[in-house]
Amino acid sequence: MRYGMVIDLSRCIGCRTCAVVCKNHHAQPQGIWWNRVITEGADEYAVSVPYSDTFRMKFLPVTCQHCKDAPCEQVCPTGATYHDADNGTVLVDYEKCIGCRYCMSACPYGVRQFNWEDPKKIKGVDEGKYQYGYPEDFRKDGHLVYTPNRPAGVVEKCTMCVQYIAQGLNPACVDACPANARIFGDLDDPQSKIVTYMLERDIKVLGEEYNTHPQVYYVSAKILERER
Amino acid sequence: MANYLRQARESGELECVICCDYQHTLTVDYSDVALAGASWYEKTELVTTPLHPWVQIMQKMVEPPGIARPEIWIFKELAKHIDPALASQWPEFSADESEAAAEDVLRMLLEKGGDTINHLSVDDLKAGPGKLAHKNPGDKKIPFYEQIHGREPFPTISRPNDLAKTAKFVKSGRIEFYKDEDRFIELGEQLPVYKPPFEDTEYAVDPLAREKYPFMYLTRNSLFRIHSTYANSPFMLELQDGEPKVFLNPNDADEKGLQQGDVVEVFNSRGSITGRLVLDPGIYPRQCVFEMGWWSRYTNGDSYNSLIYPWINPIHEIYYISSVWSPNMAWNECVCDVRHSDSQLSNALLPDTLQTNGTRGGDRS
Repeated sequence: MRYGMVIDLSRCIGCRTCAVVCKNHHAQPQGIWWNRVITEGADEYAVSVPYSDTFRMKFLPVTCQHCKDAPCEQVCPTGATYHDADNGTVLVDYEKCIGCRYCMSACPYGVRQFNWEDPKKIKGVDEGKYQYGYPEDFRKDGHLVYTPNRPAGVVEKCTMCVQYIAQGLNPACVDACPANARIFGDLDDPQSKIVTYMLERDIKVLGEEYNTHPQVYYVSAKILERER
Repeated sequence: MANYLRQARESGELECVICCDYQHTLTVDYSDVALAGASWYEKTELVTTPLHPWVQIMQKMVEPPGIARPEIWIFKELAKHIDPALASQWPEFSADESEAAAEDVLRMLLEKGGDTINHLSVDDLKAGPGKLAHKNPGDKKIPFYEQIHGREPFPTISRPNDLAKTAKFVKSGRIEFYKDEDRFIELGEQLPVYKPPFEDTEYAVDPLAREKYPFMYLTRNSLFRIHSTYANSPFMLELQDGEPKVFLNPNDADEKGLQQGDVVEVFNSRGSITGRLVLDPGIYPRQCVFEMGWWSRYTNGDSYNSLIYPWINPIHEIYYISSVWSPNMAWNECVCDVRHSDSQLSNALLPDTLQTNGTRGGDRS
């Protein structure tokens, strides 16, 4: 089994629901976003970009690409970053991470983020009366791969919602996307929805030149341009 | 425009203000008594809209925090204390029994709501959204089906008013593209017509405004709010760097000597608002956009509506039915100019102690 995701850019409307639902489910403090949505060519939200005779906003949601050949895993001196043996996702063991941040320089996608502070101080809002995030620790094969109370000074990133997919559920961003732009499933199963979806479309990966072999795939928004 | 409540409080015109809110709004600050209402998911509520044929019950999921209580109980208690003699007109219940009381009201509304809704029960709605009955064939609600196929005259009903109140809007009983009425004729609007902006409003009142305020001021909706709701969400604030923005066409900014990231003041003779400049080549030349919905706590106490004047289009005065048809604000009929500002933007993401150097917050990477 090998879990992957397709993000269909011809469906993405740039609403940032994926970013917000991810932050909420994973107790990400201020400054940390495992999921981000970039408007290609613009450095602010809600800004259009000139394309030949018109203006448009091309959105690009970016999260951990769960690379088969993950540079972050290769440089990790403690083995904190590893591939899950069951499903091939890239995970971080918060108990092994020493916060050296080699992985952050190695990752060509800039998706790894360093949690500078004790998140307990900042993850809640309204003076701590409201706490967000999946409330319990989650261990996979003994590794602490999710905790709402992250140790100070760890590197974190998308886990493909490890605590949910272990229960047979979809990642939060997949279920929350109002445009159904994200398809999740088993890349090794020829009958799966994700494989069927990919076979019918022109599939790309981000940064092919890095030879990281991402397991997050993109359907280009260029389909829409051809139809114009 | 936006300061009426504040002015009326300060002048003494409003001698006592009681409000019920679930957030710490400015209205709460200006009230003598603020009652803490329950929010979504903290009480039973019915949701319906003219935009689709579904009604949905919102059920209580969590207890209201602190002293917050469902409004149905708050207003019942208020009424009881204002005139105890009338207390027999409504049921007596405790705050804890508010959900049952709300369900009783809902049951009555469903039973007496007529043949579009009386097939639904409270239990049906608890199980899931209920669809209003209609005479259209199949499952789809088809707009104007009765008018086209049943030859029923227009207009359609505008709830909560009965048809008689709105029938005079289209005296022919049809959709009227051509309006053969005195006021439309007088104003030259029998047919849809383009009238250039500001000529009958801003420039008519102040001919110098044409030169003094060369920009049109547009207060569009934000991606990160629904009007002003969710304006205080920390996540949404972070997505906007905790700061209001002013959007201009790059050529206009260049002409003004302004650059992306500058703090700029948008102003006219009535008011002003400050934000950080963003250049967007998709903004039409001579337009200035400020996203509506920012609470004044994020704009140094200023309101983006302080620039706007409640111009009324005289054509809108032809009919009046409360809440359905009445003159409306021409929100975008507003001119302004933009200039560099030396004032500090307050950043919603930074604790007060860090607010002194204007450092930007949030993760821009």
